Amino acid sequence: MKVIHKDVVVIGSGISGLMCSIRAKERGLNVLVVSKEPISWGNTRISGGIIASNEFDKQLFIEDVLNAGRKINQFDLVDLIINKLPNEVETLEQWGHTFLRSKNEPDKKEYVQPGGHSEPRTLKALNRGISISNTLKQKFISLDIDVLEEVLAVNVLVQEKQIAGVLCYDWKNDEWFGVNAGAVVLACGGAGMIYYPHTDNMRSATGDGYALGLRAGAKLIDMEQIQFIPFGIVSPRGMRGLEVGDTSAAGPYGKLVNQKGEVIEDRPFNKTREEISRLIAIEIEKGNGTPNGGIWLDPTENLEHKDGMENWHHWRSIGTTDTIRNAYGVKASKWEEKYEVSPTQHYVMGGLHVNTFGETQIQGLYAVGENASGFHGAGRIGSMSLFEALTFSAHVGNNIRLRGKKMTLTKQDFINERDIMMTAYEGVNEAHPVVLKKELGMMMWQYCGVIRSEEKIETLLHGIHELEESVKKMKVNFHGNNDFFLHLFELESMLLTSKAVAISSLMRKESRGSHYRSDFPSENLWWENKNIIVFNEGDELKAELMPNEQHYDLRQ
Amino acid sequence: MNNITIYVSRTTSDKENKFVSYEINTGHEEATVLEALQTIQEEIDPTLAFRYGCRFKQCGLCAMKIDGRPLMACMTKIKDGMTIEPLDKIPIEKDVIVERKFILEKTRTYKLYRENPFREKTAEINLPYEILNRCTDCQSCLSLCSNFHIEKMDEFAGPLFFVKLAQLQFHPLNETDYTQKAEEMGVEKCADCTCRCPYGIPIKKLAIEPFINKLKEIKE
Ligand SMILES: Cc1cc2nc3c(=O)[nH]c(=O)nc-3n(C[C@H](O)[C@H](O)[C@H](O)COP(=O)(O)OP(=O)(O)OC[C@H]3O[C@@H](n4cnc5c(N)ncnc54)[C@H](O)[C@@H]3O)c2cc1C
Ligand code: SF4
Ligand code: SF4
Ligand code: FES
Repeated sequence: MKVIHKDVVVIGSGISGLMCSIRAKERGLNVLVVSKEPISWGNTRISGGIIASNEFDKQLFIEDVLNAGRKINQFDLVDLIINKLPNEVETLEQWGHTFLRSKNEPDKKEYVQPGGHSEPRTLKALNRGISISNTLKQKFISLDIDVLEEVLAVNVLVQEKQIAGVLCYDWKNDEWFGVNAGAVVLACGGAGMIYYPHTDNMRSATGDGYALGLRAGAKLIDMEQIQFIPFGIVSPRGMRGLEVGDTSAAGPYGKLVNQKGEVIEDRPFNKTREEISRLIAIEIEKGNGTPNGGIWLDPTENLEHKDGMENWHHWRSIGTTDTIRNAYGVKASKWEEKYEVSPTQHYVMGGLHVNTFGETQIQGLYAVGENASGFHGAGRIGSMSLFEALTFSAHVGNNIRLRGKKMTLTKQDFINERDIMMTAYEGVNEAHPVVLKKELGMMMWQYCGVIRSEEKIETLLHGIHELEESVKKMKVNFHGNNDFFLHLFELESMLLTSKAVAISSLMRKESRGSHYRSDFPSENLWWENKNIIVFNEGDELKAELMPNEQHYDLRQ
Repeated sequence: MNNITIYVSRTTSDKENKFVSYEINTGHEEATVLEALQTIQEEIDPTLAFRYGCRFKQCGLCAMKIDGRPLMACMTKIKDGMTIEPLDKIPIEKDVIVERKFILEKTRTYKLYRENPFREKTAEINLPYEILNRCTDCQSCLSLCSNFHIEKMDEFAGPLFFVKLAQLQFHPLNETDYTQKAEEMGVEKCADCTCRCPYGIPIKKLAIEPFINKLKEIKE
């Protein structure tokens, strides 16, 4: 086994992993990026690429964030990211990214106002997220940062509550790497695959970062807060779950109609993602959905109005109408006919509980991007994820501190850790992880999707337990191309993440933001200043209430 | 019912690739090649390996040779009798997956990045740049290029890399001329053929000819 020594190891190469490693490297630190996908792949690359900027009215911006987050946001993070951190969106352009220019003044950037924002502060990318990813990748390559590309980080190693290193596995060549590190940053992105196929995420979004963090002894927060974007493709099957916009993608005159032809929402346009996702899910659960399991979005009236047409041009400019065309044909993509939609998993607001330096409870272990949590609270408005990930990960990279005490894991320490992993799977395979992943996805969608209840979650926990039992019985042959292990590792991350979502959802006996309990359908003041924390104790995953005593004084 | 038979190239235990036939029910008319492969993986043989990410042509990871042509699996309808193989000219990792790591390595050795931040802050977007910027790194063009040989990339980089270079050259704020680099990357060795791209990027026109023409000018 090869043993590597580094100051900082960043796990993941989406917007947050790349930006954080760039900043750390610019400070002269010795940085390694481990990425299970090629460098710069991840949800960042397939995102719409719209990104907010904190250069305008900050008070107004904060109010929008707290309003979407239903006030369970960590206010110190909100204050830091909006009020105090520099505007890194500008940096992206200096490095080669291009934002769309306004039609009338082609040398000026055009700001738009996605749903939930009180003023136009969002920029649209030329060619969506791919351009952001490529820009960061270029900068990254120019700095000659070391990489382990298409290598899986499988265990974050901790000694005396301080970070020690990372164990990595190249499943293609059956090769292990032990990395000693003074600081480790989790930047593994979200976990949409726990709802597969009801998600628009990349195949690789399997919640690895949450699982690595939990196992290392760090805490998760707000895991019940999973965002479902209201308009996802319903059919064909292969495109199920792909996102075709949030509420504003209905256009100002679009409406939602059930299978009986009844209008269930006249103007979804100005409503939140949460409200409309819930409304559609309830209607489908009542039995009023289409045979494919969706609801009709009828945008046709927009064509009769100037602002309706302008809205269509907006969605075309960020590529959304392409997805509609591929699924439903040209007419639907031009809003000349109605098409079927259903909510789909889009983003995980929950994640590792971090302070304003991105530190978790383990000294030297950090989290950024979708892996970190607290800024968005119970809901996130459009264009805020890339903004938060970029701004915060730059700040974390700028300030990262190496652990205090000098500790070095020996080759033997890494070999011992490897052997523990290898001997964990010596049973007989009754099922393949690929198949179990799919089972989990269906269960999560059915029992802990948009509409939850105590009864459903209990059923789910039982199902997760059965899947865990199957995993325990698995057998892995460690030789040659071992993609079996990749799938198994991802399945285990998905199970742990799902369990964290389930027990947090069970504990929050109210409905808030993206979390909707049919047995507690309203928001309850008692819960307003409480977050739910999840951590590992022994081999048990536990949830606990944490009072959120920070208050944000909007008049300051 | 949509029962079809397709032929997928699988890596055998002695590291050769051989076609294996699969009978599947795609369930509907619109099924894609990616869906068909997923059906095989979930219902017949979970060990089948293929690369994908987004399911909607954004990530560029699912390029493979379908009925002899490099195409994106997530955007191609499956048909009875289709053959599905890994891309040509790039070493096979397993089944229909080919290697990718060399892309980052070569981008590094060719130094395909801008060394300084831009001085200007804003500029109008030009159409060639917009089109070049769509490249997803899917590798299809490499697999089709008669001049591209992975072991001889020092002499001839290959279309994907010319596209990367042209992205630098035609960036609206760029002030550096990358023609010299194009020469080093072997652009002049281009044969009298055209590259093809599943995303419709006119590679020859936007990423090769401009450099060749400029080199001609310089040399005349
Ligand atoms: C379809 C879609 C559209 C979106 N549109 C927008 C938008 O327009 N605006 C906006 O603000 N947000 C948008 N989002 C959300 C946003 O894209 C993501 O939240 C954001 O990109 C997350 O960045 P990240 O760096 O945290 O993770 P990612 O970009 O997902 O990167 C995760 C990285 O971690 C690596 N990784 C994971 N596990 C491991 C492991 N075990 N070992 C090693 N590496 C690992 C992966 O390979 C990958 O490189 C969209 C999301 C989707 C899915
Ligand atoms: S034009 Fe050049 S790069 Fe394109 S296929 Fe021909 S030889 Fe290859
Ligand atoms: S130029 Fe086209 S074919 Fe070549 S890698 Fe880019 S997207 Fe693929
Ligand atoms: S799966 Fe992403 S391009 Fe096909």
